[in-house]
Amino acid sequence: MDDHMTDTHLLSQAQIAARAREHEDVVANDLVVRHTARVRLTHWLLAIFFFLATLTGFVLYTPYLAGLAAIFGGGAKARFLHPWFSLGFVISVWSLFLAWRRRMKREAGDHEWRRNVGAYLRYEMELHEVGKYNAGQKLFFWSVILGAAAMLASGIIMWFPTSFHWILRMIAYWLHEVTFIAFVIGVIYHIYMSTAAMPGTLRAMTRGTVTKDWARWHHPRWYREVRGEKK
Amino acid sequence: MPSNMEIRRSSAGTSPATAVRAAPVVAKLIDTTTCIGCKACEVACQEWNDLLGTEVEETTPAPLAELADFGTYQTQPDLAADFWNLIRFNEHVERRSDGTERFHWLMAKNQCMHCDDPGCLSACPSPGAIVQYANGVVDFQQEQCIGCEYCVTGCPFDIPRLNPRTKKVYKCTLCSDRLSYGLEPACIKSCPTGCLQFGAKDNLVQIAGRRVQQLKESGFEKAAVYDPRGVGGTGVIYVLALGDQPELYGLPKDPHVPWTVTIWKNVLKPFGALAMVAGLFGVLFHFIRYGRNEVPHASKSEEREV
Repeated sequence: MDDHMTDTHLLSQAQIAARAREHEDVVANDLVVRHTARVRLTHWLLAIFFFLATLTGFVLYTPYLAGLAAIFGGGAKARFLHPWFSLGFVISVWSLFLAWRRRMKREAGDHEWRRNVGAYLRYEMELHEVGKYNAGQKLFFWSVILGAAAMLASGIIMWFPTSFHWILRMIAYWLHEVTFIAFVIGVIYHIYMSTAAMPGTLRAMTRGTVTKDWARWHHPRWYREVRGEKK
Repeated sequence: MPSNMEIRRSSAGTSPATAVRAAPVVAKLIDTTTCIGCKACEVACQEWNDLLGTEVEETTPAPLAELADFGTYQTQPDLAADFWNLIRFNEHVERRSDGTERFHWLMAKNQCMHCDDPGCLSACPSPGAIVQYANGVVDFQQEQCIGCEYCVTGCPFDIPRLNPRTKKVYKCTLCSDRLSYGLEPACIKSCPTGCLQFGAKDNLVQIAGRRVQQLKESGFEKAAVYDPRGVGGTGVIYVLALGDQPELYGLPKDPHVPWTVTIWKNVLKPFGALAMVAGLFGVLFHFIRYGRNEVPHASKSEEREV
């Protein structure tokens, strides 16, 4: 295909959009395609199910938020819907796992990144060796995979509690609780980093493309790879 | 509403319970030594609460074939969502200190214990689904129940049962509907031997104590009142001839609200809520302190390089 199209060959907006649906890690005019349509769709399905599961989860989490149940038609309905929303979430996570597990493997620069995470958060880190995903993004990815697995295992026990031993039920309640708290905090940071803190990032998940400047600034090694340059 | 039915405690309450008037705490006394296992109380319970055969097949845990082979004087193996009062039966050979043996047929009425500190109520996440009245009775409000079965896990006596059709949990109400009209519970009314008594708990504890004394004098050295302190005492108290082994009657030796429930509800949840709010503030602080990581424009950076 025309994956190696040069920068001088200009594409129309429609052509860029079409390209972003099918191919990632390719240049299109002054943009770079970061996520295919399939990945973006999966991500937003995951996000929708996450928020539905979280809202219905908050109904059971604390009586101060039990009023949220009204959105879903009452506490009993919220309780009924919660596991189904959560199954949708787990299936979306599984799909994203299949799409990303190879790109999320450990790489040479990750250790250095993790050691200097403080500098990264102060925007003081030199990012020369950061590939398509930095070590923090990988950590978030694997945490979500692990968290979804924990939620699924404990959730099934809580869905059919009397089929399981009392001790298993109690472990499930605690595991579900701690994982839930971690998920909410993790997602607060995920949304903040991809919108307010890092301008130009959100479009990677909406239109699928980022600017070349963005790619060079946040993921320079990925940018070099995309342009076919030597690592 | 009569003052004894005012709400003293409510599950998942965010404001103080509404009861302002004091009411005497009531209780059932079950003297297992005078129970003849006639099951009149079971029938009365089914009759009064209109549970007779409504959904037994659906909610009884054991299949019918197993029931036919049950081989005991017990009506069915376990409590069910539509069977709130079960006389448990146990054959026991007591080996005494003088080397002799004594044979017992132990009958113990099994139902909700109406704990002073109810584990079900502590575990319940749905506001008002489980309430404790001023008179100490613990009652489920099925309209508020969301069917999560947390109460089943929180109950140290394994009493609440889910009805799979309505997806709500049910148990003995201590005939709270009868109590509100000044009537005694149906099981009490039907008991032919007087082994079941109902009244103010203070009085019943005294009666039970006297009966235990009597039993000790007639050769049951281990006789005792069962009113477990781990759950703050119960609204159903027993006289047990073999009081050192309540397990023989299907009663837990030292029941208490599981610490895993109380820590989960009273420590983990508020701490988690705090952590989530702190997460939001952390993001806000970061934004105010460090702002946005703006992408420098290529043209400008190239100019700088030149």
